[in-house]
Amino acid sequence: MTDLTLLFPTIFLAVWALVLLMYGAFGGSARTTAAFACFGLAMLLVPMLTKPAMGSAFVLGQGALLGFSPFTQLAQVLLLVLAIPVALLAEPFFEGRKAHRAEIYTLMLLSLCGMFILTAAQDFLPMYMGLELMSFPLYIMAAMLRDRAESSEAALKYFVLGGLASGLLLFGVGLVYAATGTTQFASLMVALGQGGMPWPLLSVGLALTVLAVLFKLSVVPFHMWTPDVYQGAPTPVTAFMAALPKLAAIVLLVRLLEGPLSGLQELWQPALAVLAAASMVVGSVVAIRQTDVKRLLAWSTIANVGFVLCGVVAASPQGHGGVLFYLAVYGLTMVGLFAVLIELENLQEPVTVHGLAGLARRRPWLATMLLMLLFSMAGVPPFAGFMAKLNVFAPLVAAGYTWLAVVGVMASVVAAFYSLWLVKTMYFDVPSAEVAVVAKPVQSAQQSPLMLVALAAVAVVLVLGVLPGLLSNLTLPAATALF
Amino acid sequence: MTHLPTILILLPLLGALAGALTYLWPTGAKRRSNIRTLEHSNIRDTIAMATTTGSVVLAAVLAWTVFLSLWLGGGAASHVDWFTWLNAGPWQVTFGALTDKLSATMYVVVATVSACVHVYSIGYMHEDASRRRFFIYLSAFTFAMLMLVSAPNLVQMFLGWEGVGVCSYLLIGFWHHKESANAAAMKAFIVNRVADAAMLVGLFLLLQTFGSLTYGDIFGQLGANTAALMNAVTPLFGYEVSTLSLAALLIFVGAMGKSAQFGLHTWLPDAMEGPTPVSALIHAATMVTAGVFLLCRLSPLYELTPDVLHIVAYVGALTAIFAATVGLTQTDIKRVIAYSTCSQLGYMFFAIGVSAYPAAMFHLTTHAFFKALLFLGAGSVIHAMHHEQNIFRMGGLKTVLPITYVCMWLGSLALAGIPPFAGFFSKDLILESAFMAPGGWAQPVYYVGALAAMLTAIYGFRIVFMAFEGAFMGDEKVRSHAHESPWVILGPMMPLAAGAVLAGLLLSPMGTLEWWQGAIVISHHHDALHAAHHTPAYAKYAPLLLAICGIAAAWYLFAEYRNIPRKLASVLAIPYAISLNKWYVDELYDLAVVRPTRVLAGWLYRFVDQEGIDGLVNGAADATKQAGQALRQTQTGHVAHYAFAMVMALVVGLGLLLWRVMG
Amino acid sequence: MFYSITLTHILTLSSVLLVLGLVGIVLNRRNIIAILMCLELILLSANINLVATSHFRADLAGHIFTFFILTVAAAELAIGLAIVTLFFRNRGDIEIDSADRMRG
Repeated sequence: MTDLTLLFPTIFLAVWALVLLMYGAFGGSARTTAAFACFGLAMLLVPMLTKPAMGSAFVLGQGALLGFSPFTQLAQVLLLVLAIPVALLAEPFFEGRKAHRAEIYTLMLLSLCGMFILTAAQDFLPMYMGLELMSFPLYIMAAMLRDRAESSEAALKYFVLGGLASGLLLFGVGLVYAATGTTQFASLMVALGQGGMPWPLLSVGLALTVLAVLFKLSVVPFHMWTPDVYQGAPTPVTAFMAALPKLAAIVLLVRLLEGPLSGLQELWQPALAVLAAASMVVGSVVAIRQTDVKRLLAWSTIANVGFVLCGVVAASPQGHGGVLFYLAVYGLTMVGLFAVLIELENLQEPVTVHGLAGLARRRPWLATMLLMLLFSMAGVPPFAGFMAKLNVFAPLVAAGYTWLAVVGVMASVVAAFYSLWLVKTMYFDVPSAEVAVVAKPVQSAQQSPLMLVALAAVAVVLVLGVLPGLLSNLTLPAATALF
Repeated sequence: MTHLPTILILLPLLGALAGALTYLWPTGAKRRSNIRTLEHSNIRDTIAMATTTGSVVLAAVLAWTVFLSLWLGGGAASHVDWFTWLNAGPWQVTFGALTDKLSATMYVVVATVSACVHVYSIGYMHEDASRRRFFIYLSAFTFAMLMLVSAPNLVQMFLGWEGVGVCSYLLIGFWHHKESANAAAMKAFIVNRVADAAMLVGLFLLLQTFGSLTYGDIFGQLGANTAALMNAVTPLFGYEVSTLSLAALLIFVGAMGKSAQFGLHTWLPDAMEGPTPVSALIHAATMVTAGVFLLCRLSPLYELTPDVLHIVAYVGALTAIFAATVGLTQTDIKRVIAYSTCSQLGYMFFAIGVSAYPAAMFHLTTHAFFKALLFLGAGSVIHAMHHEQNIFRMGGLKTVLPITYVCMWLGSLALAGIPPFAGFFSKDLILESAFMAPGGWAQPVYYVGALAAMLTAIYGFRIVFMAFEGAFMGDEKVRSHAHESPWVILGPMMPLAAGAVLAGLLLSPMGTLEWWQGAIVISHHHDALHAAHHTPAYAKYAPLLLAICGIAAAWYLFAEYRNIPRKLASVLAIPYAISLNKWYVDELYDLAVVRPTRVLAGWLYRFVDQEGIDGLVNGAADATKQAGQALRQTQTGHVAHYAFAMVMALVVGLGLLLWRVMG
Repeated sequence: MFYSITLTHILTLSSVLLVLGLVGIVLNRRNIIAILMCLELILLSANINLVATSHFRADLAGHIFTFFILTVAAAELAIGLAIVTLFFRNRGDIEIDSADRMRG
């Protein structure tokens, strides 16, 4: 029998999503739905932190459909912790555009439920289901601003390319199944454990499944949807997409690589190293030519995914621990950045690179928070971004991939350029005339959770920068448990 | 009880932070005009002064509690862990507070002097528009200094070390509108950087050797495998050097910078550009003694490296005599005291050099009291004389500033080492230890020290007599306005005066090894301190006699017959010029280091940087931008192109994979 | 008289279908509906894989998987059509090449 306490968080998310849907359908306002959603997420944290359940659910034959290891457990907690501030971002954004609907919270929770399944999947079936449950709400949320052409264009692009990726995943699963007769990770590991190179059919199948994950991660060359979707989607949804699915997907990737594919390290390690280098370089190089801040952050995401992959390439507990650390810090920084961007959008500031000129004088607090978050992104100590980069590059060097670390450091120099460029624009550039006219006066301090989220992000980024042990003491043991 | 040290360390930080928070206070109308007037910032200044001064005074009370409970209450050394800052596998850095006799003594010195200086500054900085900043810096400095002395490992110590360096920089340059103050601040910072570079290498060497920078770990290993560690060598320029000696020497170089020992002392006299309370706190009583403290803290290490100890002794003796000779001829009252500090620090170092660490710490403590007193007294004079610092424009001030006069007398007597004042006990112990150091190798050091003791008495009383005795030599207008300082300035000098009188007597157990309860370790091979009990009478009393002669000479030359020094100077023109120009060390550095560096830098800037590197860097930046533009154009916006890119990547990737798998 | 059909044949068939679907997506420059059909084609090819393997290996997992895929594909198509509708409302056409406002 399956112990349902293992599945409690996943089931709770699904049920709570449906409750919210019912509540919205029967006339509940979007604002109260938001409160319920955040309340539910916060409540869920309690059992997840106090009673972490480990073990396997739905055991079939050699393996199981879902498995809960410390790595999965920690990833789920981090997802939940990141989801709460993101959920807080939706209200101030959509209210201002008269598009606040209760469904968005249902969709967020369902997507989160998908991520929970994804992070625990021990079989291609739940992996596929989790991936789709994570992605479908994202397609819908991207189109949430129904009367904006960019929003629906973003959704369309995301949908078509996402559908293509999951189609390739399924084809790959079919090939793996044809070659080995199993879809379970555990049996696959046994089948691959015989040693030697896998036969072509199987290797093509496995490559296709990994490709689907890389697509979700927006690794170069499967990244091209990212800038368009990030730019077109409503800003809180962009924050959601930047912070959460990346974490879920990388957890799945690590569990695939260190699980069934651990015998094929000599195949995937160099391949991923090349992709990581490509992502870091392309992401940061293209970012410096962007003018729209959201689009710039999208390219920066691509670069950051490259940095994260460095930790995966290291293939050591330190590396994978660094991956979790990096994504937690990165996700939080992104949420903080987007919170500030939403506030700027609400204040009718232009969210373009040149529009930020002189922001420090107009809105010193917002500019200061942007500055700190951008410094963290650029990897300037004492912010957490520096520790995050250190935590992936150090294991990488230890694993013998010094060249990749060198590429990474060079890419982060380029990445530092655009972060500092934004800072320079905010602090030293003179705004153009129309910006000064359009922007609302300073006094319009709004009652919104945005500043709270941004402040919390800044605080955590600072604290983790000075005391990285608070988080790395959790991520390292969790990653060690993988081996 | 166990958390008292933690509280007392954090108190000044809280005070500084609370003071800094007043900058967030809405300033209302002030924003329109950039001119800050006193009335506008009055309340905020008062709050900042109250929080900083209050917290430091409280810290001083707690420091005495901790110290007395350790000493008289029979308490044991304690160690509190705060948190683990770094956890890099086998290497951990855990912040905390190690409270043994060594750090407790430093708590008392730092917190007491700091409290007096805080109160004093309320009066002294009364007219300064940015005094709030001043108090915040002072408290921040106190916190950093307490961190330095309480650290259970060298990493936390180094953080405190750099922290006091930064605060010192900020306070020297406090009057940043003065060009000379900025230059002095930069000089202090840069000279210390040179020393700190050496020190960092030393720390790395220790880390490499011991795998830890925690005192406990290092000393434990030193005790457990002494022989192996002493034989460990490090390759250096093709030679093999004893690792321990090299590390000890490098750390000593760091200490030389902070404690202004000969060669790296040039910043200290210039640092007198800062406000006088700063000189009293940082450049007399606390920060400059950090080097002495560090070497005492590392006594188990230095005891294993006698060769380095010899160097320490010689450097200390050289500094003592050098600074004493220079002090004889300077005219700026604060500079004289600064050279005196330099010289006294030399005494402490040569005490360490002969393994008399307790004597060094004893002298550190008594020196803190009387030197802070001297500085605050000088400050009182300067305050009364409207920022006149040249002693040749003073004279006859004893009727105008009677209380300051008495304080200066007490301080100078203590400095000159006249019983029963504080300096006598500690300085004597140092000289006796040097005389009796096993093997007699340190006897030259003793003679240098005794000579320096006489010079100390001369220059010490030179300022007293020049400023307070005889006829007034300055501008009559200044004199008519001169007045005794208010009690907020005189008050804080009283505890220090009491210390200058009594500290030697009361704290004399500090001069024994047993008192330190294991915080200091002395190898019995070179226990000069123990042997010092058997000093022959002539060696024991010679320094005292010399000092008395010095005072008498000072009276004769600077109170009675003031025209003699001028004649002497013309007769002894060359020695006088050497002394007046501080042995030409600054000029030497200018010639040997600063100018060549500038020429080289100018050349590098013009030919290598501007033409070579800038060209490369700008080229690389332009290339990156163009690459970005090119890559950007591949992002066409068409889904079909994106899908095509994915499929092509897939085909290529699968092709490579299959080639790898099948080939 | 007939060649006996093996798994290899079916895998070849499904691969052909996959390539058809991919080529359809990449080369189609006009209609979004056609792209949705191509996506379905790819899913179909995967289903064929699974069902055939299931048959030849006498293992039920593939059949079960296929049912899940069919269900999910229906949901996917519903979302896709909804997005296309939205796109049409905003832009007045469903030409895929007109979705290029965001680029660079």
